[in-house]
Parts: sequence; C-alpha cells; structure tokens
Amino acid sequence: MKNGRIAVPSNGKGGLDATRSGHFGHCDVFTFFDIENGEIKQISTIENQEHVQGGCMVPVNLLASHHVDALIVGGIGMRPLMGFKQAGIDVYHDSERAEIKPIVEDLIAGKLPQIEDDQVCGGGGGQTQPA
Amino acid sequence: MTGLEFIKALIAQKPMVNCAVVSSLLPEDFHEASEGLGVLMQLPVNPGGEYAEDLLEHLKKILNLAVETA
Repeated sequence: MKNGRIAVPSNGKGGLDATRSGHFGHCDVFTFFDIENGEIKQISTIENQEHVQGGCMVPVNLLASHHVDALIVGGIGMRPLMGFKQAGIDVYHDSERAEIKPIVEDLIAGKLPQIEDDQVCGGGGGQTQPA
Repeated sequence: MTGLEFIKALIAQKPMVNCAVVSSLLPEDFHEASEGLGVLMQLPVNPGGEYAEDLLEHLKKILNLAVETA
C-alpha cells in the first residue's frame, strides 16, 4: 500500500507498539495509520463503539466515516466482511501475530493477504477463529 | 433452505439488512450455527408480542449506535 488509511483493532490505548485485538468488534480502540508514499505519516486512535448482538455494521459505519481504506483482522464474521467490502474497505488477515507494528509494515510492503470469503469465522464459513 | 442458509445468502448480497430468525434450536446451538452472520435475535416458533417488542428495542439500540458513528 502506497497511500491510504489503515485501521487495526487494538487493545488498551492502541498505537504502533500496542497489540492487535483478536475480535475487531470487541476491541478497545482502533488505531489508524495514515500512509503516504509507502511510509507511516501519522498515527491516531478512536474509541470503539459498544458491541451488541447483530450490531456488526456499527464498526463498518464507524470506519467508513473515518475514511479507512484497509483493515487488518485476526478473524471476522461473514456479515461484517461483506459490509466492509460494500463500504470499499479492503480486509487483510493475520491471525498469528498480536503485535501491530510488523503486520502494518507487511501490509505497506504488500506482504499481507486479503481475507477470503471462505476464511470467515463461525456459521458463515468456519475456518478462521478470532485469536 | 433453512432460515440461517437464507440469511447467509442474503448478507452476501445485502449485508446492511438486519435479520432475526425463527428457530427451534437450543440457544447455544443457535449461537454456534449463526456466529458471524450478525443475526439480531433468535425467535421461538410462534413468537408472541413480547418478542416483537424485544426485537424492536434491540433494533433501535443498534440503529442509535449506527447514528452515533455517522
């Protein structure tokens, strides 16, 4: 990724040295990385909204309203994945590493895969589990 | 086609549509079967008016959260 805004569901106060939340809907904050010419130019955070059953589109609307271009998750359900796709937000996947810094660097370098429809959590697919 | 199969097909095209499901599954089995599909609520077969009220309250809560993020 050369330019754009990356969002990472984060634990605690978020930031480059924080850890990724295993379930984006339940994260404490979202950390935003603004990328220009393949470099991190600015880092900011926003509070997540309350998570309620069936409220999968709340974070979709939240990130879309903050002009996010790409999201990195450890796991995601089918409905929010489809919502992010419809909102034009690319969803990337890394369920192995909890550290934010290396996965953001990999996304910028084009080394992080986008999640496939058959990798979603639970009844919509059943392969990838939230970390 | 079951209700959950229908929802899976529906949200693949229209993920913004909110759904509830009439199902006789045990709650824990329903939770497992519907995980990731974003179902608002499981309703019993022949649900009464109280379920309609609960569903509307739940839907209002979600729509209010959506408004707050807009």
